[in-house]
Amino acid sequence: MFKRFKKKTAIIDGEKVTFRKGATILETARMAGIEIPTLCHMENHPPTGVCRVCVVEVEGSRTLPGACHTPITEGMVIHTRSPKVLAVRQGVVELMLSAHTGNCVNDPNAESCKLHNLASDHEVGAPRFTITHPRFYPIEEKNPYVQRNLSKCILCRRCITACEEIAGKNIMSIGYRGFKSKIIAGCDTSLTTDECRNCGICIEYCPTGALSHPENQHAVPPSRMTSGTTVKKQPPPGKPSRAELLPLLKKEVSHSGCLSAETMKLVAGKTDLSISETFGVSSFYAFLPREGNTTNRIRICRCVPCFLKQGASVITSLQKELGIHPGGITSDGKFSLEVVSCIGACDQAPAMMINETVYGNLSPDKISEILQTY
Amino acid sequence: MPEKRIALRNCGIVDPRDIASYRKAGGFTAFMKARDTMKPDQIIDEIKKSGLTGRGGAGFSCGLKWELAGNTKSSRKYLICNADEGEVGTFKDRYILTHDPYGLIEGMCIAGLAIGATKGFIYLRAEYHALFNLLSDAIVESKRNGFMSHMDIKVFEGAGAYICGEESALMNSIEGRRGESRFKPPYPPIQGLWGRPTIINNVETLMNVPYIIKNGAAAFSAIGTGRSKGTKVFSVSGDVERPGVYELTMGSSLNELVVDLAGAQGIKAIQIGGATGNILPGRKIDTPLSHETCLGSGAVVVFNQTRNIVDIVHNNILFLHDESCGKCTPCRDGLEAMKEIFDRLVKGEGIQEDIRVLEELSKVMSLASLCGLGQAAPVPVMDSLKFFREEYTNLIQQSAYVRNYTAQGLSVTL
Repeated sequence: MFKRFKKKTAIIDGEKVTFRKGATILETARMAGIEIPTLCHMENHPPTGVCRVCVVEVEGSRTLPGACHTPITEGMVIHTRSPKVLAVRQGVVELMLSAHTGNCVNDPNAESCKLHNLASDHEVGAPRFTITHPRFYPIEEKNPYVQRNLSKCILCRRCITACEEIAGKNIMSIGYRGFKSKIIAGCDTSLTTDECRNCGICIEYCPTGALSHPENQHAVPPSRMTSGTTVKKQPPPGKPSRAELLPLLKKEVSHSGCLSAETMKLVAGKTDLSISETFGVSSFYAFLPREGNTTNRIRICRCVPCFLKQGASVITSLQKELGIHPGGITSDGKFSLEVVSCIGACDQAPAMMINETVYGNLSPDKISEILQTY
Repeated sequence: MPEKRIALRNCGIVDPRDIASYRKAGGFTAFMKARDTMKPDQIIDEIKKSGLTGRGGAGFSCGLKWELAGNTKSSRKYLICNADEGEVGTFKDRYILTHDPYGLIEGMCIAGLAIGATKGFIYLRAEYHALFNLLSDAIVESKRNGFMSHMDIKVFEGAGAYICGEESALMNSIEGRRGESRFKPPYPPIQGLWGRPTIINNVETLMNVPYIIKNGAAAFSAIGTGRSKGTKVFSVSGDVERPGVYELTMGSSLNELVVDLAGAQGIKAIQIGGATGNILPGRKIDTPLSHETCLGSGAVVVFNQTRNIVDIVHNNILFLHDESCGKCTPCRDGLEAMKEIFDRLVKGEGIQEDIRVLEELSKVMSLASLCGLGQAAPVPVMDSLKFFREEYTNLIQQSAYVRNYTAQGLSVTL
């Protein structure tokens, strides 16, 4: 049979599209003139896929994949505006609105906020998904080049990419985890002019106005805004690689009990990672405490199997016995108490760990006896 | 169907600190058979034919995974054993690692031969630090006995993050990054750790490998159901007489596990698969346990008639809220919104509207989240609303009465 070169095709919103190998759904759709909304996406930079605004329906797929990072493949049938997609996209926008402290109604600059515009495009009304304590941080005006109002931040991470890959500076990073995630500089300190100066590139990439030019400062000349020029730092030879970071941090913790800002700067220097990145990694993990040098760490589980076996009363009795609340350290520095996720001792519930030792089948009256052995 | 020991075959029989005791029990014969008489694709073929599936929760075909990595050309390939057992109610891997570290190493050595990995990692959760030396010593001994000339294995310790049990987050963690999930594709067997083809298998999955190689694929695939071959190790806890680790043939009924073996009585509900697992009502006690029904990581938590389902789901959500990596919007902010609703419900401040909002939010999270955590987080919420909806509505109604009375200056105790 005669074979001829056949272009790869897929169907987006009923339209037949052709694409090159490795192209994403978003790229292909845009080439075909089909607009898919995005927020975290940056043209010419690797996708992060964090905001989930660009989700689309791919026939045969259980979930809605992100268009910005999912490669389009031969024969794919994609819907970018099906009722399912629109409903989910609307939900995602609503969550972003609820989770940040915006003041869009009174804000004269709200029109320049991409989230605000997305919300009106998607007819987002009164939020169904309410969050009573949205992320809130005081406005920070210390830096003459960048003003930060992180209450408006939706954690799209464009500023991190802009700082690292366009400005070539790597000052910003993401810190903590879950709902407490935050864009950080240094050890989550204010943006000082020691490192961050004469630039302001990140401002142009912030979709919500969380980063802005201080009022008395002019915008950076557009010539500096060359998007897509990637300046990536290469680690110098001979330094421990990034893979050594966690072991190094853990070593510091076992040595000095916790990670002070000084220690983190030291480790950052050793691995040639930025301080914010080191802080970002360490603040992600529960076993890398940043404060509280204590001899004995008590970690008591509060998950379902322990909860069923009166775990709560054991926690209360521990608090009473130690005279501290979870997160605290006894006045003599001997014990710290943390209420933690499952420690994998559910067959002995309720259970706790003191340092590495597991104590199971606990009851309130056993606590003082166990503590006395330390 | 009876209890059958494949993954736990050596537990309690061999001395976990003594390689000689392991070898005496037939240890490393499967490895030597694979090394001396089989080509890599023959090993992969055998695993494929056995029907072995991932035991960590996803249930993907182990052989297909290996084949994908085996076929990908690269000068360096990695093998990772996922020992970051963080799923609520799961402690089977702790049991296996404590009693049979050599069995795991033998499984890893065979996997290494099959895919051509030169470097292996055991990603051990920080909470299991006590096992670090046992595993490291077993590696040293295996090396000394000449079983690891093709591959190095290193124990890499986590630092306290449930999400690192998700394979892409786990790889980020080994690379020294935040344990955040990556989007897929690319899938790890094509592009994994440091961009190289990587196989990530659960401890229990790898424990089955020596058995299959030694006894042949047919011996393994003869056991189990259509899509679920072999056995499954379950961790049973909650309201049972005998909590612990049990290995049963796939397709055994829930009743055999929780009533006959673990001694549960007066069952109201059972959660299978951890904090993101299905919640079944007691009347579904005859459900067979397999990939076709529900299985997850094999965590089985039993709730008796005195338990309040809303409290249990609230506890699940608190856990997931704490453990969400925070990378994508639906999981990060959705779990916060969900936690708030449950906080209100259990405080007696719930309103009827909350149920609809929970359902809509569940849909957004399960469809739009980046990884399995956010996608599966609403499972217990949806299941409890399906089977125990009246517990929600009763609670909300009672709360409304209390509010009414209190507003009129009356006191009420329920």
